[in-house]
Amino acid sequence: MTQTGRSEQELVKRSQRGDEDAFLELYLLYRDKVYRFAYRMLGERLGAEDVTQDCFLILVRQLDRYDPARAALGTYLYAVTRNLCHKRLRDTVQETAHEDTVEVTHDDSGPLGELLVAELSSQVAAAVANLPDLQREVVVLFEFEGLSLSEIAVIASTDVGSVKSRLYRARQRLRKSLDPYLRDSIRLATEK
Amino acid sequence: MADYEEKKDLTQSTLPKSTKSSDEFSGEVDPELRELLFQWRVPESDSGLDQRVLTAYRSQIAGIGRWKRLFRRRLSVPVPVAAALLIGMASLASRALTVPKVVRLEVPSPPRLVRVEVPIVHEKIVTRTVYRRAPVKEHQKKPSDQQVSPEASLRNSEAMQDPQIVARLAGFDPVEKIQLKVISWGGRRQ
Repeated sequence: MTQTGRSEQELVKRSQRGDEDAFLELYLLYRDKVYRFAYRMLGERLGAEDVTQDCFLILVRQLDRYDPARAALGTYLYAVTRNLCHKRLRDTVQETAHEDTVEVTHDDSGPLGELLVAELSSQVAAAVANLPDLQREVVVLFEFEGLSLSEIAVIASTDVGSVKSRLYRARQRLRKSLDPYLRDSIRLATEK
Repeated sequence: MADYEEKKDLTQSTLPKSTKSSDEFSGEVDPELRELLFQWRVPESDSGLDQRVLTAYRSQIAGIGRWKRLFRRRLSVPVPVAAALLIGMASLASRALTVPKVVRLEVPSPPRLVRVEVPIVHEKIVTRTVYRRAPVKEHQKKPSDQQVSPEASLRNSEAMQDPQIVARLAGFDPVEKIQLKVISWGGRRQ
């Protein structure tokens, strides 16, 4: 186990014993990652916040389920988040998703630029949301979170081959749905 | 038309179609797609999230602590009571641990039942009373008998109580050899 892993493990143990500072340290280490992943899976802020909260409470409550020899703490938290997201997706109605994707944009390039970025952001969000759940999680973890295929395989409880094929299909679908925006971005790049 | 062709060419040149199949795909980064995907911005989480998580953590830890306190609670027991408890527990434990003497009880096996079939003979005894006239010998005849008429002697016998028989025996002449025929009430010969 690495030094980081040992310290993380120590933080978790201290958190379990009721050390609030240790818990806060741990929380701040992984809060953004967990929240971003949950948001991109669910497409809504409130749901992502609930999942983030539940994820850390599960970590404190069920530490015995986490085996440091199998995966890093980050991978374990992603796996917990993934399961919580899938549960939430099953439970909630999909029509509420992505209702607040427009609120994400804060651009300094003026009202028009802000509008364009908001438009592009919502289109990308919609394209990712239209992917099947299993493809979406692979895209989010690989493209946005920068995890390796083997790490994603551990999180999704599958093999690397399945991750590859899901990622391949997801990319094809995304290219198809975001085709006009891809062309625009390439055109802009060549004009520059 | 030329404009259309130009557009078509532009489309084809600007959209690099992935010619690889999913088998050949080894997870390399697609920079164009990634750049576009990164246009999707995630909104900041609510500032109340941290407080909510912390509150939930505190309540959870308090909950766990309650259970721990329940099992780790200290009880002050006076020495005599503790000693009595210990002795009682020790005696109970020794009783439980001592192996009881095994007593073998021999239970007599139940008697074996043998069924013997005995034939039962049903017998029926039928009694018939037959009356016949005995021949009267000369030397046995008493003078008083000679005086008695045959009708009177018959009248004395029980058989002659039937008036029909009396009528038929009026000219009765006994035969030398008697062939006895017993006829049952049902009319069958026996």
